[in-house]
Amino acid sequence: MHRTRSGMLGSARWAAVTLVVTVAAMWFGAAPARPASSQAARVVVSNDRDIVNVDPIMISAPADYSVAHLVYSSLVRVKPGTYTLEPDLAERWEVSPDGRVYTFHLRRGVTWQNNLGEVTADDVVAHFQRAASKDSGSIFFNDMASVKRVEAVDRYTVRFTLDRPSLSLLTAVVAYRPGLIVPKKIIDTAPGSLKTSPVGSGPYVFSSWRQGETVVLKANPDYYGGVPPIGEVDVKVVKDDETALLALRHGEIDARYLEIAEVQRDALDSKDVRILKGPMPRTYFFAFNTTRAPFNDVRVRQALWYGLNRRAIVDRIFQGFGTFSDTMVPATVVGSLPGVVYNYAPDRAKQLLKDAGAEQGFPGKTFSLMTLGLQDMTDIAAVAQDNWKALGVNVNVEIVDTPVFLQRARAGAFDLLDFAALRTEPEQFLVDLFHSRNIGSFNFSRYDKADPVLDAMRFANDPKDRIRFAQEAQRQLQRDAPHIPVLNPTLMLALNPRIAGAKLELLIFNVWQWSLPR
Amino acid sequence: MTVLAGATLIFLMVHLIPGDPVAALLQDQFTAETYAATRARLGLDRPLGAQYLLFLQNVATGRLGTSFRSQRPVTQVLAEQFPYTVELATGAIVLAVGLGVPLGMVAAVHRGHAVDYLTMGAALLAICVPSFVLGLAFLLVFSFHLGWFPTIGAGGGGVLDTLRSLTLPALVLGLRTAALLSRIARSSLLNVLNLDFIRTARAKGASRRAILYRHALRNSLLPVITLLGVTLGHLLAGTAIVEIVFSRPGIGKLLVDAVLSRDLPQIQGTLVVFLVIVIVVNTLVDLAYSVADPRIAYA
Repeated sequence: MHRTRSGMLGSARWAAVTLVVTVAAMWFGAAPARPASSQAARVVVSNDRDIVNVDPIMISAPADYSVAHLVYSSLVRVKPGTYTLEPDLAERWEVSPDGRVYTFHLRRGVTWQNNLGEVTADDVVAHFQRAASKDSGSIFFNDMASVKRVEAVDRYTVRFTLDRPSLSLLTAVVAYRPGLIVPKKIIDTAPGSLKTSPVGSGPYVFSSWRQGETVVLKANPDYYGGVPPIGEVDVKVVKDDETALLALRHGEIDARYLEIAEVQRDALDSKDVRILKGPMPRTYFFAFNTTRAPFNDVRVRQALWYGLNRRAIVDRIFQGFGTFSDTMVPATVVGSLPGVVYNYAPDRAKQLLKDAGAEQGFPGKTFSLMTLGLQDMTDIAAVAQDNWKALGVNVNVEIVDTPVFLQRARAGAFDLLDFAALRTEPEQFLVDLFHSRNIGSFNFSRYDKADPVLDAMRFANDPKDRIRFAQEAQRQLQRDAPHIPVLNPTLMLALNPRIAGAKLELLIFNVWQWSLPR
Repeated sequence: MTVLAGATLIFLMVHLIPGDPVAALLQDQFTAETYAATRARLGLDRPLGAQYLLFLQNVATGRLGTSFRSQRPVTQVLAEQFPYTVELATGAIVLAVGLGVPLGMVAAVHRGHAVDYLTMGAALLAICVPSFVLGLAFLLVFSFHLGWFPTIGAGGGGVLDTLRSLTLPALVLGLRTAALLSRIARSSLLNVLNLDFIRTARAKGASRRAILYRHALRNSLLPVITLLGVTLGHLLAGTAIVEIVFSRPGIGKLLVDAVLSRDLPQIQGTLVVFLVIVIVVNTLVDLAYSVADPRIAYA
């Protein structure tokens, strides 16, 4: 057979075209299809950070907690979508009238993952003893300080004995990070493995981890609450909200908490995303260094509070996704004091400065306003800088990263600072930030005038007393103004619309209650 | 000796960064007691000299210590992340060389024509646009609107899946290097094309193709190889941004996280690995000179 040159070239061209078409077909054929109903058993949720250490006694980041709370169970837990408690490993519990003895009755027949046997009182005791020990590496031993003893009354009954009453014990310890129970067998043999290979009794089993990218969890077939409808949960790391929203709309992830206001707005405007939103118990605030002049004068602090246009911050920077009040304790937290006293009033601010002997402000002086390099914080600082300049108070916004910020804030090496606190209990907002025992840790303003009422609140045994003392403390803080509460942002969970049963929680996902209806 | 000097410099720089690693680690669990206990547990209460000697000992034995945050061996963490960065950097270099050198050649051959201006203009643009802007733009166009590539992750469901996940990040990371290479390749080739031996080859009747590929290209490669060696450091630094934008694992992102949390052993370990890579690659570049130009020989 003789083939012409042009014929050979033609064949080569067709071969090349065929190759390109084949490769293209393979390429685009392999495109990740948007999740179809046949893949119904798997969902992908996303955090902005990877897990670091999921040992419950060492968890310091929301990303770690979001994985750990799916693998572990606790004695009691916060009911998803609410701020109330519900039974978990303990089917019921009692508190003694003096508030010093808590007794938990465990469910029978709950088993550990990896065939480690039944969950018993001995496991619970070993776990809380480890959480209370400084030598175990626990970062929660201080939270356990009021617990004098944890003991097993019998195989299914555990008793906590406290030095003093603590109405926040259940929500801040037992139903929170340090309350996720690990098996005694692992505590005795290989506690180090818990950092990256958690074994619990929760709805999901830790299956694998590609660091920096994905954690894979599989449904626990022996979960006491029944096998979860979602068979696999992939927890993916996506650093920024913009990319996460694109991936969500593209069908590559199914759920993500969004925190940047512009992205929240985009998500609300997207037809292919379902949104759950509500108030977030995070308070952005300014703290004054009350040991430095002129911020050691309450009139100057009050003046800057009156002189800050917080509505503009909520409306312009947070695009309306937030509210402002005059207390550090958000409205969703028990004991929050309602109402606004410090409405934006530049004239009132000027009068207060005049009363403090600074009618023209502080010409020639520039104060340091320390903040973190996060967009929301620097924007808030910029508004304050502008508002206070009109009063004659010049501040220089100094942007630092978290380690430097915390080091300087705790050492009192600043004039003003701009920060945010995410908490769930009134004690965590008020005692942590304003009790003199916490100067050098979270009492950045070095304020020490509210100790008696704060102690009365944290050792109260009657919930009504707790609220009464909490509100009294907040009134005093409004008068003394060591801080300016700026706003509480909006908590927003963006979901693939195929997900049913999702609840808005504090940066965690109630996946075991989710389903994918056809 | 170079590794020892580099390691010492790394240790000093890391310990000069302001900011308290224990405070960053404890976050909202910070109290005087937890601070003291954690500081002792991490060995930060030891004198700086003792910490330095321990670090050198670790470098010498290849252990590199334990991460403050994850409490896992630094070498283990690096070993897990390293393949992703090698994959990305290799993809970027392949794309950079594959695009940059041919485009430089085309521009040189068509000097002064529209193709030349167009190529060099595009190269200038690629050099100027920051990689995070380019990354987000590519994500929006090629992933979200066209759906050709995944938006996040490093793939893992087979070779094609990995290649699909790698294409955009490698392109973003490699484009700047490709642009630099094209400009260097163009000017180097133009220089060589004006030399006497090329004129002689032309006079002897050698074809245009033979002159370009057999004589000119090889002789113009030295500056290109030099640039490749020099830009490796930039490529490694650039991986951090690309890994963050495309939500990929890797050493660059690991280093950024370590710096932001002052995870000193992880920072030191990662930088030591970077140091060793740069030393090894530059040695290879030196050796490549003699391959490209046999007149260069090492005793």
